[in-house]
Amino acid sequence: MSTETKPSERVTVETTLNGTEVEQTVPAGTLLSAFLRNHEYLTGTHRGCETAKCGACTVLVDGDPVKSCNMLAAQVDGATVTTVEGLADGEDLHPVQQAFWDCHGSQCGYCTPGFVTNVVALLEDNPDPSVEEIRSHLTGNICRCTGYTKIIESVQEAAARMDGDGK
Amino acid sequence: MSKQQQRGKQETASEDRSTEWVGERVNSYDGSRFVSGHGRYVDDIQRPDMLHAYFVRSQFSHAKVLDVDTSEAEAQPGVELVWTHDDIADQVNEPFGYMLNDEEVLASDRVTYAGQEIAVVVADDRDTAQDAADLVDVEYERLDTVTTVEEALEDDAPLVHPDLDADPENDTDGNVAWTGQVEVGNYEDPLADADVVVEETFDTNKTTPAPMEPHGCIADYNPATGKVELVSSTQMPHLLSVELSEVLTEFEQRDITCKLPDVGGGFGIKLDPYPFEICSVLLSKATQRPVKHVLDRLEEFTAGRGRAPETLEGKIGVTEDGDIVGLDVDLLQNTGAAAAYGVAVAYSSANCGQGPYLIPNQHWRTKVVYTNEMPTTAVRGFGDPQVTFMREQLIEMAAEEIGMDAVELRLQNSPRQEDMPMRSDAGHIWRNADQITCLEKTREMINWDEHRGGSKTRDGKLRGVGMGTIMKRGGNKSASGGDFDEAVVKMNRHGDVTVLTAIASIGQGTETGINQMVADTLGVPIDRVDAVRGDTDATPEGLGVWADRGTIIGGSAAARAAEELADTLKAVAGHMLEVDPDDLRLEGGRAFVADDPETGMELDELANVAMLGNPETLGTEAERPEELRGGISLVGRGKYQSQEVEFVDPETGRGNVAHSYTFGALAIVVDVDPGTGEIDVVDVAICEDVGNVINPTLVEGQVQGAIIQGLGEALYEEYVYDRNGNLMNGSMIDYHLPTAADVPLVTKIEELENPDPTTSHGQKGVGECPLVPTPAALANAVYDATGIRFTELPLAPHYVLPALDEAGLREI
Repeated sequence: MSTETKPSERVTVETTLNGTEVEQTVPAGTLLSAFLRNHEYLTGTHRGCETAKCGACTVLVDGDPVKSCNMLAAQVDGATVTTVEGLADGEDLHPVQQAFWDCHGSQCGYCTPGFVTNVVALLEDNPDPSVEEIRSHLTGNICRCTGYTKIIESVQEAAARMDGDGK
Repeated sequence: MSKQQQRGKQETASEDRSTEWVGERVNSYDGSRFVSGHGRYVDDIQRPDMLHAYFVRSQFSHAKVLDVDTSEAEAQPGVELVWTHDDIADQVNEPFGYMLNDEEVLASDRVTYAGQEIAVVVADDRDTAQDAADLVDVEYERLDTVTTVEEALEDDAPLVHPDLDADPENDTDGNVAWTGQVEVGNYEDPLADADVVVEETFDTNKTTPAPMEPHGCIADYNPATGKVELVSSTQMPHLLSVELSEVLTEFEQRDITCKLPDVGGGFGIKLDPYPFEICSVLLSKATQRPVKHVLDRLEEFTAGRGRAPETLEGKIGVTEDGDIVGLDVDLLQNTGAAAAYGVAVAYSSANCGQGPYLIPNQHWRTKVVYTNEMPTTAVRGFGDPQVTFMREQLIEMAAEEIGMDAVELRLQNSPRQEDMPMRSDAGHIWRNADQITCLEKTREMINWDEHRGGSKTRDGKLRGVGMGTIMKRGGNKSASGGDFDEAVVKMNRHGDVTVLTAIASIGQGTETGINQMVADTLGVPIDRVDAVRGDTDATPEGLGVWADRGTIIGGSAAARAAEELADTLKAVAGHMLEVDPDDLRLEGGRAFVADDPETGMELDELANVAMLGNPETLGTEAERPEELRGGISLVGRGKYQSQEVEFVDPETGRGNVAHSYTFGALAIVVDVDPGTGEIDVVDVAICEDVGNVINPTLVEGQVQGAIIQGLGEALYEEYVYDRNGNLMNGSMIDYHLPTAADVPLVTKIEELENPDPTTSHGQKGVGECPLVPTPAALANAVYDATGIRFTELPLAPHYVLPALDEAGLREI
């Protein structure tokens, strides 16, 4: 994208979104979070703070967790984007999602998609994280309901279930 | 995890009820949707042709509004309407408010806090509305601002509401919104019998519970019916329709259908009827299009309301041998520019300020004071965290003064389970709670005796332990005139069950617990039970979730509804099996003879036969027992109305303000860093008597979440205003909320299960309780570690470090 582009100009974004090729023309100033929610109707990605603090809008771009309220849609042109909706295999929840449900790592659910996507990325890099590594990795996500204990237990449970699974 | 369970001796569950689900770790009802991104919060909902509202909010904390020029905003493409106070004045009853009438929907000629609504823009999309709102030109004349209670009570203080006598029944003037008192025993001289009096003044902090989902709603008016559907992120859909109908002149309760979306946390601040909800209804009516407004995070911080800071001047009197004889307290609440729930916060916290102790003489004097800051309201704990911060520190100070261990002093002054039911000194009806064991278990779990007295860790930190206690209200009727819920439990021809209640789901899991109770009563698998919550067209009347009431009141209503349906199912099965219905048991998806399980039938078949009601299967009506004639309804109805809760006596402040009370104790071990003033919470233990546990996982989740929320408020959260009343830290970056790296794992949780005999399953309130003692226990632990009594919240390094320095404890 040229640095001359104005926010109101329209740009075309081509991305692989949850495994599907997507092409959309949107105003250049469109945030990735707005692109996902308002243009692709993927409302599992939540807006919590608009300051890249709370992590409710976390998605995976080429496998890395990013805060989609702090990135332009145009920046994912040519990239692969995975949202919380793209993690399940049909009706089978991703092991991280299942562990968050089973261990009650989600109460009101608003922060949950951000945690789940961030934890999927963590376990890709580090399949057997320590409690300290989990806590450190999750400092960019805020949860107001759980107090984090059951979130950390969810991550440990997911890691145990995925052990040797190659996922 | 190290969670332990202790089963109570008494069982309130009826003998013939299945116990397959209650008490089990059932996964949350909504969880599969939430983990997969298929929740549906208000901002996720789109309607065809929907408009978006955005508010023009005051830039100043106190000013006259001389002129509002909307012309440039109105001229913007995509802008439908721009409204100021004059545009809605004849459609609203103003001033309005929950307890005191002190609010305007849009400011008329004065603004009283920075963030107050002045005008509203509605446009085709949110960005257009927001950009146009920036073009609304407000001409202000600045007025002097009061931001502290001390300033507000000065004789020549600027008046926040000069034209308002918000509470004509109370003899208040100036910036005092409300005064009250609690008088117990020799209240005129409550410390007369004391050998030792300890006194101190405490100041608590203004905070926001900051639910991750901001407030928001969609209003959708139907011009053919004159009714509006309001999908709102609220904790009380039915009460919201009642309260909105009192503000909106052209809408009766029946004209306002409130529907719950998924609600991303509430913690109390989603109780008030907000200006954005009122405006959205009127804008939808005017435009005949759906109107959405969702607050952004800055609006949440400046106008989303939060916890009232209080100044508590307390004196406690004890005898030399450790009897607490009296408590004398002046409570000043900085309620902000509108009282909202602040009056109730003040009187209920004074009424319950004695905590879980026997204190024969008390005198509380409370003042709710207006200032030019964001209004405060209900927040988890509802005033108890503030008074507990005072009381539990006074108790540990008194214990030290008379040379007694602080836990021993608490034990000596706690009520005994064998004396219950009993009236407390301030009028509470206490039933079947074992506070002695709560204190002893907490002391044991935290290793009190090992830590008490303070020590230095190997890495040079100052370590100490402290405690706080809980006596928290469950249920209340001042909000609605009575404390009740209705419920409907219905079954379809396939045996699937739906529970309809007025409770809201804000993450706490009430619906899961209710489903478990219903599943047991009907003997069906938990995955055959669905929940419909908070739709005023469909769900029966009820009051929502606040004051820890959902499972005790709503749950008891649903259990009764399920009992009625179970009786019908047993009658049909008894008729078909030719056995006495009283001999039947419902369990595992079957109805069968309890003493002869082979004789029975599947519930699916039973439901189908009952629903179709044909003579071919059931015989003619004449051949049936009387209750199976005239149509067999598979709808069970239940209502639970608390007969225990009372209105507080306005003269004495005494009375049974809640349906039930949850007792408990919490202890904290801290390490204080003498180099930085940072406090590290290294251990937490809690023991509460929560009655019979419906779902241990959900209870733990509430306990853990509440403690961490309390630690955030105790350690670093605080609204910081400048002298002009402008909020300095209105973002999640500047207002630090706890992250996973900041707080300990909470695993030392013990729940005593002494059942409440008045509720369906012996359940008591859970969700708010553990927050209550957390700030107090933290401050007591820091005192034990450092010998410094910190009387203000939060205990942030900028407060702690200079005090360490002054005490000669700072290490550089």
